[in-house]
Amino acid sequence: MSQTLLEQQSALLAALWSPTTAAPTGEAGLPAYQRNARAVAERALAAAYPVLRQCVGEATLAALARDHWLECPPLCGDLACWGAELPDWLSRLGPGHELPAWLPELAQAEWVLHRLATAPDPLPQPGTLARLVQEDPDQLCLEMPAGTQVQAFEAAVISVLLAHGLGDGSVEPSAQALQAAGLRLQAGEPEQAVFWRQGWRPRVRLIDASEAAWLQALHTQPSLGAALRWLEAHHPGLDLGVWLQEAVTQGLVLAVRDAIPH
Amino acid sequence: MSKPLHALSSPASWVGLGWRQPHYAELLQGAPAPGFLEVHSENYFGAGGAALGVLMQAREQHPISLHGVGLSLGSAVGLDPWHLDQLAELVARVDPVRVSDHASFSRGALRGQAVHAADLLPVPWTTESLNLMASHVQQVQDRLRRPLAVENLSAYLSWADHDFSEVQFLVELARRTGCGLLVDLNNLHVNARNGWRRQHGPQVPEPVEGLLDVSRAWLEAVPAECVAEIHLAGHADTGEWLIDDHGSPTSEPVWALYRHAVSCWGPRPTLIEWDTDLPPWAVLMDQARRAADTLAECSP
Repeated sequence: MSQTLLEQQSALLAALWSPTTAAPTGEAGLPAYQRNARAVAERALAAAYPVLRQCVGEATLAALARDHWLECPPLCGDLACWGAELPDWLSRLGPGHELPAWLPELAQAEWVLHRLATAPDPLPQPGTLARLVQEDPDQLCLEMPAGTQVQAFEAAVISVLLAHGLGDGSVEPSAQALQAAGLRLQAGEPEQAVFWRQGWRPRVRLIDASEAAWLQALHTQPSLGAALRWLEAHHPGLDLGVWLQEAVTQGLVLAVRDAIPH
Repeated sequence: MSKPLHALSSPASWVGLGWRQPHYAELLQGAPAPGFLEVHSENYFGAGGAALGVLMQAREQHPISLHGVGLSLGSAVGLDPWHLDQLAELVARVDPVRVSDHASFSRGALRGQAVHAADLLPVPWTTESLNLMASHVQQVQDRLRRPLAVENLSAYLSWADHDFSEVQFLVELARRTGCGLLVDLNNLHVNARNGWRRQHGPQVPEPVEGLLDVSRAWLEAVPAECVAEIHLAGHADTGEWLIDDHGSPTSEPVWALYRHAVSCWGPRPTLIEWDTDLPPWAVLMDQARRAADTLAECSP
């Protein structure tokens, strides 16, 4: 590849990402592209981080989007992928920005929900649940939707997300839930949550330590039987009958499958 | 579905509308439909989710045209293999009537990595640029196993280097690769008027009819067999620039160019693009009906 074309294109990109640089063509059109980039950045972050946007307001989100775009350019042509670095970037901003200290964790949780939105569609097969009473649990495992994950947060950001209806604009946040989330934030209460897809909806709910351990065991142990033994040894007391019924209803457990031999 | 366009008879069946999220439900619930629906390919990348699910429902009833904004066919750092994989997967799922993207670059080297500008940046009309874009178009067509349609840009910058005019470049690209051309008449009009303003300043009145003649000559330089689709759209006027924002009805000068294009080339699949400040679906259908009427009146 000729250096000339490569250099021409690199020079234009450098000019777009460095507003003080003169346009390489010597023409006045550069600001039109820069304005468009700012608008694109604001729309992309607002779509991926609807609760963060509600928490900081339009103007602050717009300013964050512009700065983040300049420091962390998109790496691919699907704008839904841009913004993955926002949580880390926010945590590096420091106290001078006067943003809440819990904002990076809120962004982290919202990004999980954002990516779950385009994860493979879950296909529940409730008929396979009968295998749980018919077969050896060492030969079985529980299938969960692709992208299901457990995360722990130092601040009560899941309460904030849930109080805002996960950013669903059609749902007015409840004042009571917002107040409760605020109190949990002030108290510095840590939270754990499971994220998954139910149908087309990304979901998240708070979980306690024993459920978090159970979900991790299901993920890491070679079979349902092994996960049950691990839970009994480390976190006895979780009522798995109740848990399973709720998990199936919520689409967190899709099916019972053969355990993958190790 | 996937009814070939040559099998469609009424002028209305040649005219499509951009189908955006606010109109998803209305169309699926039975609102009047145009001849085809156009969607932006990148909005449906990914393994699943609501947007893709809705598109798969729509494809059961309507021909779909996949229009991309991110392939970066003119990029000197090459095509993004991930992007091409995603597009190929989408094309396999949807079986669209057409697949298109732009004669532009978005992807390039910045601070030691390949970045994507998320915009349609102009390429110089040089032999080097043509060779590169032709190889990329061929790469895409080989992967998708179908012809690509490549669209002319609205550009707010231009490069000093050129071996061709824009239209020569695009026609030669089509000749070398067998790709179709997607001729965006609003882009042509926006470029012509912005070119005048850059040269004379925005205060000097534009000779609109003279600028239309320049665009008509551009259209006459394109062989009919190269034209895969026509785009019609509105633009905004900032005073300094006309911006191709797809946020208003198609302007009268662009309708004039459309009449000329149809009289030159005969009927071609035509898309009404409207992406910002979306009006009610019925307004879009009115624009589609006007395009269909023009096809019926002006086809040779």
